[in-house]
Amino acid sequence: MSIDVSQFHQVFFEESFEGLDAMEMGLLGMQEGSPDMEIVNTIFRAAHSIKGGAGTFGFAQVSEFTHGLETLLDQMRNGQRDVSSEAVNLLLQAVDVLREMLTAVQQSEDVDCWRVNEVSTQIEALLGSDSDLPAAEAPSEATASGWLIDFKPHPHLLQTGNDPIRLFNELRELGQLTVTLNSAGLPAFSDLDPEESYLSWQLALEGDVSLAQINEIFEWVEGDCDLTISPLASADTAEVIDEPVAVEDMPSPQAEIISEPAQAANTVKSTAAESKKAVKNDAALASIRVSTDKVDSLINLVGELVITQSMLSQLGENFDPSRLAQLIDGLEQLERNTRELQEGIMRIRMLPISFAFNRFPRLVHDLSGKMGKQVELQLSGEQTELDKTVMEKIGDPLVHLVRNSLDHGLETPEKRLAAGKPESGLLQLNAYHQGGNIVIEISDDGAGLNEDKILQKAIEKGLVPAGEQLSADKIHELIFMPGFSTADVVSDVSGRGVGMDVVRKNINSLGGSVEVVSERGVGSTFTIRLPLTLAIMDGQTIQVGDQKYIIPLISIIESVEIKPGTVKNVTGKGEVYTLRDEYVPLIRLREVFNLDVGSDTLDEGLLVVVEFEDRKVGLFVDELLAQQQVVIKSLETNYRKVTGIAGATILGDGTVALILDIAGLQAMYRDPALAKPLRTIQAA
Amino acid sequence: MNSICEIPCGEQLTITHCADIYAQLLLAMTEGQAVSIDVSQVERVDTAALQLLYGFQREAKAQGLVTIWSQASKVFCDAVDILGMDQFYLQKA
Repeated sequence: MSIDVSQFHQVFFEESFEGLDAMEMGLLGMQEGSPDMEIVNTIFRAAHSIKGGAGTFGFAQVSEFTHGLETLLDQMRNGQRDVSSEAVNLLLQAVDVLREMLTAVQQSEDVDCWRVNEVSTQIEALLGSDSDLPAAEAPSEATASGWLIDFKPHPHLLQTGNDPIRLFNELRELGQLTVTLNSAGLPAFSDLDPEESYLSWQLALEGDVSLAQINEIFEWVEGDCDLTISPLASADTAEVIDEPVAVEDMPSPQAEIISEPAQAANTVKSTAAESKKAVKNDAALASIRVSTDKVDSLINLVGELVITQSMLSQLGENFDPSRLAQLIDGLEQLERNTRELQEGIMRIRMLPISFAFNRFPRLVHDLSGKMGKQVELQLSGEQTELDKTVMEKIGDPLVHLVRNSLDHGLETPEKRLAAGKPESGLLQLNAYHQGGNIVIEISDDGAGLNEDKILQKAIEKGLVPAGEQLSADKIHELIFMPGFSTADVVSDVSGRGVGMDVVRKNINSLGGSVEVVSERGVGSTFTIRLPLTLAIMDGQTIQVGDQKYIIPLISIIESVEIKPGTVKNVTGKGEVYTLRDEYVPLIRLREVFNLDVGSDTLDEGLLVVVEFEDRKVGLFVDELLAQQQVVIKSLETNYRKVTGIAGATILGDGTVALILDIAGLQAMYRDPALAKPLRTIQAA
Repeated sequence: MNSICEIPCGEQLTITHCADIYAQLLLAMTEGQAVSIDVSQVERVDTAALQLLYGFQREAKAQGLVTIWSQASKVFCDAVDILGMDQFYLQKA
């Protein structure tokens, strides 16, 4: 199988630059001494992903460099190392170096080996040194906050009416500004064009200033100048060029005097250029490439919508009841147009999952070679489409799962032969649609999960009390707990305990689920279920008391009338409903949401049986209303996260309806304490 | 020719006046004439104008040309300062 992985390089670079930005933000926000573990974890994950991606695409230098960085972060994460400002500075430098390396790789240029070696030596030295570093040794510039700005106007800048004097004056209002003029570009007086710009400046702006504030000032000259902005603290070479360029020193631009500082300036500039590029990449990330065919079809649909709209408005101008049929026709057409337009727009966000899958042949090839294993990779269902946002977020979890299968799942050829299996292991990636979900399966025919070892490790780590008896399924679940790893040696493949917990966290945050089925000696299958899109879903509107709620249609199994005698009380567990030959917990939504109006009598309402992760629960509602597509509005963004509520939507009549989160409701049934905050909200 | 070329910059010293001043300064320079530049009245100045004067002063000094600067207005001094031009108009030893 030959796949051109270079088509995915851009994605990797974009993700990596985004990761580096996240690392930088995290590092800059890190408190000395007692760091926020969430920040440390975020930085660590970003480094881990970059390393993984770099390994996949064969950028060995990047992946090697990140390994040291990751080890350092891992020590911080495990509390083996204090977060000193020295370490944070070094990490920031490492971020800069990584950015340089990635940009160099991206543009097929040579990596600045000198700088890479310098920083990796420092990391090695720090790793080799005692963990408890005295914070007092931190270099003084680490505390200086500010920015180093390289500003080189293009020749025509002055003719555009923009004046550096004004820009610098604005900068001076933000903080303490030191201006260094570079007049090396100024030609002999006789060759001078008085309206062109030849000068350039380096500005050091000290103070509590955000990048956005600086960018705002330079907004008007964007495109008319070369501008690089870098944090003052990390630009340790800045001092070399901070010496003011004396007027008398510059009889000719080619003077020897400037050659050395100019080189230093280049180094700083390239670092700064990276940060600027990374900022630009952010903008690129928010874009999507759409074929003109899809856009054309959207334009056609909009055209039809406009025709329908004008027909309707004509009808409304002199309406009389005899034209009612025409009006109804028109409205139906409007509905059809809107739906088609909506589907068309959703389609432009859909990409085949091969975008995520096709990274793997190389990854599997390289890793299996490294680990001395023979692996056959089978991909199927690559044309299955899913939303771009979901695709972007599922990439990393997939990489983790595949790496885990290779490292922990599949055995070496010798072990396989001894176990009577073929020498070469089989790793399968499969994707298909099921209902409104996409299902992705990663299965291997390896050793399967070693329950004894997992349980032993879990007891060691204090995740499970010693002597506890757990079913195989429960033990399998343990691998999704944070910090869990059974690998004896930390390799650059796995064993750091990142991965499974992050995999589950990422997938859950997409509204999906991940589960594992494993059998000793036979293999493991990880199944990921994800919604096709995050923006719109099919919902069933229900009435409870005087409120309307939405149940995701995908979770509904059936709706039944409650027959007398089918509901039983279970001590300590509430009510259960006898659904044919199984018992389903019954949740009275009226009680959950603390509503005063509505019926408590079971035979006056309906039971909506919903399912999540193979667990059924019956929701007691007053009435079923319409089924409709709803646009999901995040409650978290607009308010805060509420257990049992997945989001909100706006109904046709303008009222807000809450969308139920089945997993959350189930959790509330199991642990009634979770329900309390919900009641308070409703009551408030 | 020993007369002094006088350049009164007036109140407005901006890019629109640069071509004119440049022509005068270039002529004076080619003829080796001493130049007197009056920046005492300047109330508005921009980078193009300062770049021109800065460039002239640099070359005049290299050629040993006599340049006489009037006392500079505050606006002019501030502009020179913010551009990092290091008070090039001051007569230094």
